[in-house]
Order: sequence, then C-alpha cells, then structure tokens
Amino acid sequence: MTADAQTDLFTFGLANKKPLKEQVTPHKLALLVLINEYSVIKKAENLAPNVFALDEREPVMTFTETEKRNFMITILQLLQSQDLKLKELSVKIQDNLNIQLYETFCDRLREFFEEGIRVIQDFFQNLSFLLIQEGLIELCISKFSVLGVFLRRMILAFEKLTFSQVIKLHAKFVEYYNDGQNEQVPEESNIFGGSLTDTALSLSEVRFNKSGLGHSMDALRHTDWKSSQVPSGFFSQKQAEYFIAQQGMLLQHNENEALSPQVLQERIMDILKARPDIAEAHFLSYLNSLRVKEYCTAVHNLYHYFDRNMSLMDSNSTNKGREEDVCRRYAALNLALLHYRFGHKKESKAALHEAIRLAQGTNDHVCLQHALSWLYRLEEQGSAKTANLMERAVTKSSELSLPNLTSLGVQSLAKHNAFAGAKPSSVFEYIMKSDILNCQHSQSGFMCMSYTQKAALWKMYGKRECHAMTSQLVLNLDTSESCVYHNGEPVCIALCNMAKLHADNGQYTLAFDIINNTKLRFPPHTQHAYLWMSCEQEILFDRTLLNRKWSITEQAVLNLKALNEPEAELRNAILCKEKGDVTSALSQLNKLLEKLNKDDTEVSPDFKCRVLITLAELYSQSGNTTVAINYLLECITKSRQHYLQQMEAIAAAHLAYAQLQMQLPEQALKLLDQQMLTILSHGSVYDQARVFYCYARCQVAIGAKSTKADKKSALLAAVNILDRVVNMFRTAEAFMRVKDVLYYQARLYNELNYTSERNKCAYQFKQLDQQYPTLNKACVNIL
Amino acid sequence: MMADFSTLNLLQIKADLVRAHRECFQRRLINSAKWAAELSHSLSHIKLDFQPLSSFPEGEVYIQEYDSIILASTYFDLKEYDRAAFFLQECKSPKAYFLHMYAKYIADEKRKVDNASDSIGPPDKIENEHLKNLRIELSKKYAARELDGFCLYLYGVVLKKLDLVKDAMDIFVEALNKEPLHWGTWQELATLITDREMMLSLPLPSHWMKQLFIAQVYIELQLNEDALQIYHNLEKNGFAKSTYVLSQIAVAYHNMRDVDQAVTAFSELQKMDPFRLENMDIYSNLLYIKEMRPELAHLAHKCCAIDKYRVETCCVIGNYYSLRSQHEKAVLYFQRSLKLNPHYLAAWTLMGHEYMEMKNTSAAIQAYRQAIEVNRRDYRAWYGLGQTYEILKMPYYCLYYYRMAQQLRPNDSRMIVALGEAYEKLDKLQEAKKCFWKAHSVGDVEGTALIKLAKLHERLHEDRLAAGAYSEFINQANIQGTFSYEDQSQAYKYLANFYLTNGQLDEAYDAAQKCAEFTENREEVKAILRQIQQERTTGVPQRRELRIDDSCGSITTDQVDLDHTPIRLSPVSCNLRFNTP
Repeated sequence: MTADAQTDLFTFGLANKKPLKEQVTPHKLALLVLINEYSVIKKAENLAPNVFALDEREPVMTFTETEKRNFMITILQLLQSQDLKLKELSVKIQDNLNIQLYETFCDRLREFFEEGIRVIQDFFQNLSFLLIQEGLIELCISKFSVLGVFLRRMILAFEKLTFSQVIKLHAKFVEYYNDGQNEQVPEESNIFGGSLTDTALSLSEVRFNKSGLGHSMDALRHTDWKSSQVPSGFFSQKQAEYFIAQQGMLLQHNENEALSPQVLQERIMDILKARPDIAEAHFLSYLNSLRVKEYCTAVHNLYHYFDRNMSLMDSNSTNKGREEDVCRRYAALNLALLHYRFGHKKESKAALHEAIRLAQGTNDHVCLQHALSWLYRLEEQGSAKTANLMERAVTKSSELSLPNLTSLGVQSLAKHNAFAGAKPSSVFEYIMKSDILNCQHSQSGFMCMSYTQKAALWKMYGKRECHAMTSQLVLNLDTSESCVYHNGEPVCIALCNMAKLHADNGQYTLAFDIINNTKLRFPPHTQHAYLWMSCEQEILFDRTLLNRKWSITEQAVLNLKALNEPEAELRNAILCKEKGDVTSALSQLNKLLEKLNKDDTEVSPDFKCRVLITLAELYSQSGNTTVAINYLLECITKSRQHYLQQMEAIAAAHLAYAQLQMQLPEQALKLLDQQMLTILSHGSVYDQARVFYCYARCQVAIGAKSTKADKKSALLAAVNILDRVVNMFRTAEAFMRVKDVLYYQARLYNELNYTSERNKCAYQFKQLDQQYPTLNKACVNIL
Repeated sequence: MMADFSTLNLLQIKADLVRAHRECFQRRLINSAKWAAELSHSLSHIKLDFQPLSSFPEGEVYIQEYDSIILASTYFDLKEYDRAAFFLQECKSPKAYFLHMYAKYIADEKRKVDNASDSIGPPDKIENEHLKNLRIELSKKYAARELDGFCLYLYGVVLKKLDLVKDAMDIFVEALNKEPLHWGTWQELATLITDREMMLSLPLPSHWMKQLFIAQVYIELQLNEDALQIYHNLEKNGFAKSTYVLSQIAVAYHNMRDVDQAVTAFSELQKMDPFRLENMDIYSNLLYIKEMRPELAHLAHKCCAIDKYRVETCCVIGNYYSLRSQHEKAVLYFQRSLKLNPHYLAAWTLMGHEYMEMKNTSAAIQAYRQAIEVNRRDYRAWYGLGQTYEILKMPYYCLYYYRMAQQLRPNDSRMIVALGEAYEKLDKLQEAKKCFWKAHSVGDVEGTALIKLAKLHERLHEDRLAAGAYSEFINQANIQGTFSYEDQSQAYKYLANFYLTNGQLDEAYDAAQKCAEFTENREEVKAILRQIQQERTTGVPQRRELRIDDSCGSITTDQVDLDHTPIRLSPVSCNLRFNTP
C-alpha cells in the first residue's frame, strides 16, 4: 500500500476533505480594507513633512492619539469576534473611529461592489506592499504583529483560491454589501425574513447597547445583540477557538457574563455547522447543559466530545496512543463528575473507579490525584477513612506540584478537622497553607473559596465579627480576570452571610436589599441560586417567627423543605413550639435528635446544638426545668468539644434562666456574668436582649432577698436595663417579647411606686396586647 | 385495503403504466419513467390495444410549440440545461412550462454540485438562492392555480430542499391527487413520513399505486412484516416478474434478519436482472453474514465489470475484502464509496468495523461517530462504539452506547447480551441477569444468553435457577445443535453435580454420561460417576432429606417426580421463571 493511500485512509470529514483553517470572507475583506485605508492615510501623514510645498488641494489629515488608540482597540476586537454584518460593522466604525476613515472605507467597498473581481484582486496584490519594509519602519505593518499575521493569513488564503472561488467570494461580497445597504432589497425581504423592521430594530439596538454600556472595553461580553441577527456566520478556526475558550472561562468564572444558555447553544450549533471538527464545541455545549441541569444533552455532549477528541489529536505525533489513553481516562473522570453534579453518587463512583483503573494501568499520577480528590468527596463524609484519603491527596498532589488539587485537599481536610473537633487554631493554621498556595498561583476562585470557608468556620465557632469581616473580604477581593469579576458560589455565600448578619441586627430591610442584589447576580435558574433562596427563607422565618406572622412562617418552612431538609425540620419544630403545639414539636425534635445521634455527618456540629437548645427551651417552657437542664448540659459539652463559643454562651444563658426558675438567682447571675462578654460581642440583637432581660430578672430576684435600700437600687438598675431590652426587642421586631418586658417593667415601677411610668408601660402593654394577644402560656415562660 | 389488489385490473394498470412512462419521459423525469417501464415490462404478458394510447391528446398550444419543446428536450438530453430552459421561455403549454422550470432547477442543482468541490466554507445562503427564486415563481403560479401535477411535484421538491417540510407535504399530496401515476412524487412523500399514523392521516387518492407507496413507507419505517404482506399480495396478483417488487421483498427480509430468505430473493433477482447494481450492497452484506465467499467474489467481480464507480460496487468490493480479512483494502473501498456519496451511511459503519478489525480504535470511534452524525438512529454504529470501548476496558463507559443501541432495537438480543456482559463486568449482577433473561425471551440469536445466565446464577449460588438455566440451554442446544461443545459439557457437568447433591442419582447419572461424551472435564466426570456409584450403594433415603431442606422451593417436589422427559432435565426448567427485583 502506498504512503499516499495510507494518509488517505485517515482523513475524515465529509467528502474526506479537511475544512480550511482560514478563508477570506466578506467581513474579513472589509476589515482588510479598513486596515489598508488606515495605513494609507497614516503613510500620507508621515510623508507630509517631506513634501516641501504643502499640497493646497488636499489637506493632509492626521490621526490624534486617541483616534489611533481607538482604531487599534476596535481592530483587535473585530479580529477576535466572529463575522459581523456590514451594518453592524459600520455602526462600530462610525462610533469609534475617524469619520474620514469611514468614508474612504465606504468608497472602497462600493468600488469592490461595482467593479467586480478585478479590483479585489488588485487590492490583494497591493496589500502585500503594506508588509514590505521600505526604509521607514513606521510606514508599514510589522510581519509579526497581530495585524501582520492577520494580513499574511488573509493573503495566503486569497492566493489559494481558484478563479471560480474568487467569483464566489465576489458573489458573497455582493450579498454582504447589499445586506448592508438594506433599502436595495425590499421586495425580497418581504417574502423571506430579514425584513426592514428587523434591520431598523437591530440598528437601534446596537446603538442602545453602545450608549448604555458606555466605553465598555470588552465587546464580546455583550454580544447578545448579535445573536439574533447574525446568520450562521463562518467561524475560522481561530475565531471558534477564541469564542469557546472565552465562553468556557466565563462559565466558570462568572456565569452571568457568559451568553445566556439559549443563545450560547445556538452559537455552538453555528460553530458545529461551520466546523464539525471542533470537538471543544461539544464540551462547551456540555458545560452549558450542566448549567441548566439538562441531563440528557449533557451526557450526549460529553460522550460526543470525548469520541471526537480522541481521534482529532495530532495524528502524526508519535505518542498518539498514549494521548488517547489519557483522553480516555479523563473521559471516565468527567463522566463521574457529571453524575456527581446530578446527584447520582453510585454511578459516579462506578465511573470514577473505571478512571482510577485506567490511570493505574498506565501509572498516570496526575489523573490519579484528580480521581482521588473526587474519591474523598464521594466517600462517606467525616469518616477516618476519608480523612486519610484527604491527607494522602494533599501530600501527593503537592509532590506532583498540582497547586489547585493541593489547595482543594487542604481546604477539605480543614473542614473535616473542624467538624471532627480539632483545635480552631490548628484548623486556621492549616487553611493558611492553602492560602499561601493560592497566593503563589493567584487562583482567584480558590482564594474566594478559602475566605468563604474561613467565614463559615468563624461562624461555627461563634465569632460574629470575624465572620462578617471574612465575608466582606470575599466581596472585596480583586478577582478580576480580563475585567470579569469572579462570581461563583463563594460570592453568593458571602452575600448571604452579609444578609443574615444584617437580619441578626434587626436590619431586615437592608438584609432583603442584599438578597435582592444577590438575586440579580445569580438568577433563579443558575446553579448557586438555591443558596440565596434558602437564606431568604431563613431570614423570613426568623423575622416572622418573632413578629408573629405565622402564615408566612409556615410558607417559609415549606419553601425551605425543598432546599435544605434538616434545617426545615428543625424550623418546623420551632414553629410548632412557638404555636404552643408542644406534643408535635417534641416528637419532631426527638426524631431529629435520634437521626443526628445515629449519623451527624451531613450537618455541621452546631446543628445538633441548636436542636438540643430547642428541646431544652421546649421543656422549660412547659415547666420541666429539670429535664431541660440535661439537654442544656449536653449542648454545653458538645459546644465545648467543638469550640462553639456562641452556642455555649447561649446554652449557658438558658441554664442561667433555668437556675433563676429554680430560685437560684445568685448562681444564675454569676453564670450570666461569665457569658455576657461573648453574647454582647457576638450574639444577635435578639439574643442580647434575652440575656439582658434574664440578667435584670436575676438582679430583681436577688434584690428581693436583701435589705430595702438594696432592693430599691436593684429594682432601679433592672428598670434601666429593661428600657434597653425593650428597644432591642423592638429592633428585632419581637413584639411578644416587648409586651412581656413592658409588663415586667410595669410591675417593677409599681413596686417602686413610680405611678406615671407604670401607667405608661401599662398603656404600651395594652396597645401591644390588642395587636398581639397572648394565646398560650408557653410563650411567656421563656428566656 | 388488501382487497383492492385481488380485484386489480391488470389491463388497466398496464395502460396506466404505459401512459405514466410516456408522460414522465416527455418531461424528462427519467427515474420515474424507468420505474414505470420496469413495472410495465414485468406485465409484458398483458397485451394492450396500443391504438388509443398512441394518439395525441395534446392541446393546440402544444402543437404550436412542438419545435421548441423538441429542441429543448434534446438540449436537456445533452445536459445543456440552461440552454434548454432558455428556448422554452416563451412557451405556454403546461408540458413546456414544466420542462422549462425543471431545466432551470436541474441546471442550478448541477452548478451547485459542481461548485461544491471548490466551495469555501460551509454551505450558505447564496447556494440556495436559486431555490428561493424558483419558489417565488412557482408560488405565484400556485396561487393562480396554474400548476399541473408535475409542476406541483417540482414545487414540492423545491420546498423540501428549503426544509419547509410541512408545506412540501401538502403540495405533494395535492400533486398526487392531480397526477397519481407519477412515482417520483410518491417517493418524495415517502421520505417525509415519520410514522404510520401520519401516513394514514394523509388524504391520498385511492389509486392502485397507493399500495406500492404504503409498502415502501413500511419498509422505511422498518415495519417489514406489513410491507412483506403487501408485496406478497402483489406477487400473487400478477407482479411476480417485477424486479422492483422482488428487490423490495429481499430488502424486507434483510431488515428482518431473515438471511436465507433474503439470499434466495436476491439470487432470484440476479437471475432476472443480471446487470442490476441497485441493492447489491445489501446482497453483499447478506453474503458476508453467510460467509459465502465464492458467491461474494463472483458478485464483486460482476459489479466491478458493470460499473466500478458506483457506491454499491465499492461497498460490495469492500465487503469482499473484509471477508478475506484484507481490512486495509476494505477500508479503502468504503472510503471510495463515501467519496462518491458522502451520505451513504452504511459505509461509515462498515468502515468502523474494519478499523476495529485493524485494532485502530480511535479511527473506528471516529467512523462510528460520523455514521451517527449522518443518522442518529443507526444502531449498528452505537453498538460498534460500545464494543470499541469495551475492548478498551471501559465497561462503565460503554454502557451508554449499548443503552442507546438497545433503545433503538429493543428486541434485538445482541444488544441486550452486550449490555448484560457490561453489567457483569461492573458487578451489577442483578441487572446482568435481567439483561440475559430478556435476551433469552426476545429470541436469542447467538444462543449465548442462557449459558451466561446460568453461569451468573452459579456465581451467585442460586443453584436451582442455575440448573434450570443450564437444562434449558441443553434443550435449546439439542433442538438447534449449534452450540459450542465446551459450554455443553460444562452444563452437563454442573447438572450432574447439582443432581448429585440433591440426591437425584438417576438424573445425575444421565447428565454425567452425557458429559462424558465431550473431551473436556472427562476426569472430573469420572469422579462424579464414581461418587454416584457410591451414593447408590449407601442408599436412597438421604435424598428425601435433602429435598426437604431445599430452601429454594419455588417448585414442588411432586412436580419434579411427575414430569419426566427422556433426558430428565426439563423439569427444573420451569424454575426459570424468576423475578429479580
């Protein structure tokens, strides 16, 4: 078999012809004209001083520096974007460039249109002169510049054309030109789409976009407007690759800036129509399907990509077989990822094991590391085995210098350690390792992730201010990559954190403002939308629970159920408790506790503490203080074990309240004194108010036992504290509690014989009581 | 509907065919004319009175324009279409108008094809410009109701090319109502139909041609039994000599994988029409499957002698080389056929198979993918991809492909067995069992499903089920006699052991005896036989005890005792009814 036949054997594509990498299209022709005219004018400008006598007839035009810059930027954008219509091109040129340049440009195009192929061929012949250096360097385009390469590519592509192809190019150009001068083809457009209204619309739209976005540097980012009008334009290899790379990056980095899923899919179809050999387009389509959670298409695309990719890799390279192996491994790995994304853990594991087996067969450590980092993700969370896997992943990937895998492993291990009850200082120290790596390799995504994780850890440990600070750091981080800010999960979480922090301070409107902003940044159909959805419901729940709008609270619980099941269960129990439905609350809480005792790997440790506190509250509300104490002590132990400071403080406050009820106010006061600092610095406004209220009551209780003078001063001090408490409860919109405090305050004033103050309080109480009547006794007997 | 044909008036049909041929030929619709002539030829035993047919029923205008038409027709025959169109510009008669438009259409299509070789970039708007122009002109005439059946056909074709399928269908139906004798219209319509209901809902004329059309559609929709029924009916009623009907029958048999019937049909067709190339690629596939090397060689030789630049010829030769295990050459010929017609789907798949034989997996994947791109419903390509990945030791990855293939051919045991094997490799034994069972129940082609099922049961220690499957396998093997000896001996051995542990010594003895007929495992069998002897001497009672202990008691002991077949193996077979969760 001859060598010729051998090569023939391995060429693919329809009609066994490799599609051209580059070709002259009317749009590119127009760009060439633009470049040519620019350099001609510039040449004249440079030559002008040499001409002694100034030419009277034709004043030499010059470009200002801004014009030069604008030209360069516009040309670069045009080279990188896909083919435009003449109308759009004209608008761009008119908006950005010198008007005289535009006129000569139009003249030249008209010449092409009227005179036919001769002019085009002459033009190309002259074009090569632009590249030839003749003395002055400024006069020509360097061969190796962006423009130079573009020119050379075009000249080469044009040289390759046969005569009939040149004719065809001209025919295409005529159509392109006619399309630009839209009034010439009315009768055709009436019948087949592309109507006049359409074009008018597009023009106005373009204008609007331009003005609306001001001097936007990146035209491609805002290409939505192009999609509707551009017919399946030709993509050269370069254009398609650039497009795919850019969209892929945007999808990862900031989904909002990428094209909308529908438009993107259309564009991908266009690319595939023009260049069926670009396998990466399938991958982009896969990413796009993942984004809208479309399982079937995603699977098809993934398989298609890897089928294609395998054979399209450099066929003449010697290690082709090896590369194919690599590709296959990653195909299986990606399949695992896909299944994971859709929550099919078993399938994911099966695919992962396949990848591991293939990688082991060829000793591919890098692939194995990737697989390992997936493996510990798929394994049972919180088990020692998983921790072991993580440790191995960290050491091995740092050996192989895979910074992102190392960083990821460090973060996972830190989380694991934190959950397992390691010392906070050691956890943070460990995370620092990941920070250093991120900093060295400037991985903005990982940096955000690390900060978010730190924020979460601070929150878990009960350090509110640190939590707030790290959340804000995420938002302030400079994560821009080519002017696009990172907009992923960490950012969403940070925003939600901020919203919750504001809500805790009783600034509900601000909180909802933040949530609304988050909604804009992460539209409901996107991947991370569930985060703000659950955050919104939680804030709603907290607020309406306090201000007694229970219909909304119930709705919030229902909504939450779809997003975060355990959280919804706990909150449902809380709601039942508040409504006075003690039995169902108790049974729900017990069920929840049982579940947690069996397996608490799915939730963070503070969740269990919250369940315990709620249980204790429930018991103490129903008068079973002794039982409540058991739960509180368990909660305190658990919080100490995990260093959950705030949780511990709140539990202690509950304990103090229990002691108060058991007629032990001195001890209660001591306990409160201990915890006051933590609560005041890190508790929410509601918690602070509760603790103060309890503190005041303790003081009164102690005062009651002492001498008269002491008693009076104690009562006065308590009254003062209560004023503050009322204000705090009001900010938190806990009107029932305000009522309660007012009643208590009135009693104190009565004791002190301050009648007018007493009456004032009583009056306020009366007003509130009409609005929020007390329906069961359980809600009074509470911390 | 069937009744139409038994009462067919062959005389009328013959007259129709003659007229159809004349009308089509005058309009240079050569393929339809050829079809009519072929069918008419097959009815050559019917004698017609040609007198009324040969007279000119044409109008006054036609006579006036006769010269122009003749000139144009001649140019047309010489493939100078633009010239033909030009000389018909002024003509008014419907025939001349059709020829004018048709020439224009053909001229542009030819230009398009000619230019395709040096096209730059993907097909774009300009290339369909002429179609749009034709459409405008035809739609004007259509609105004025000036189009006859043939012009409507042309209009429909243009619409179809512009992807306006819905409109095209309406126009075709209208054309058929005006001109039911034009086979081309029926054919174009047939390609647009996607399911049976769609076809039945169309308001088609009740003409005898409709039967042929329905049969054709059935073939395309893979409703082969229905198609065969119609064709056999036709054969009985006077079309026995029609090569068209015969070839369609052969294709139907081929689609049903009834290889022998199809081969007979094709060889008969060969005798009737020795220089025919159409459908010969299918014939070669059949010969390949049957491994009839001399016949295939002969066919290849003949095809090559007739016309070597035909898709079918290349495919036949490719198949021939493949059968000779000269895979490189086979690929070369498949590629040639693709050069001749890039949309010739079968070649892509066949090429994939060849690459597989050459162990060039990536090229195979590529070829299969291309086949899928041309037609997503090509189950062989999906299956091929699955096989490729299985060879590459990616059992989980290949599941997807097998599933696709199985979806497309739900009742093809080969796909299900492949799926089962993949599951088995992944240790998903329940799924694997389901697959093998299903493969057995849909009619196992390769006869491997049962033995695989049995081995699986054996692996899972489901003794009764395993024994059931093994005995069913042996029954099948005895009926068909095509199974491998190794499997059979293993089955007997297992059964012997099974009966032995269950204390059914007679059955065990029979099975062991059978097993001894094979060379494998002879030593082990001897051991078993010795053990049986030993058991016999120690006594029977033990057997009862074992029976009672048997936990797998989905079958009563009485039944086992009652049902005795000669080889005493089938009783357990009713145990095969298993239901995995």
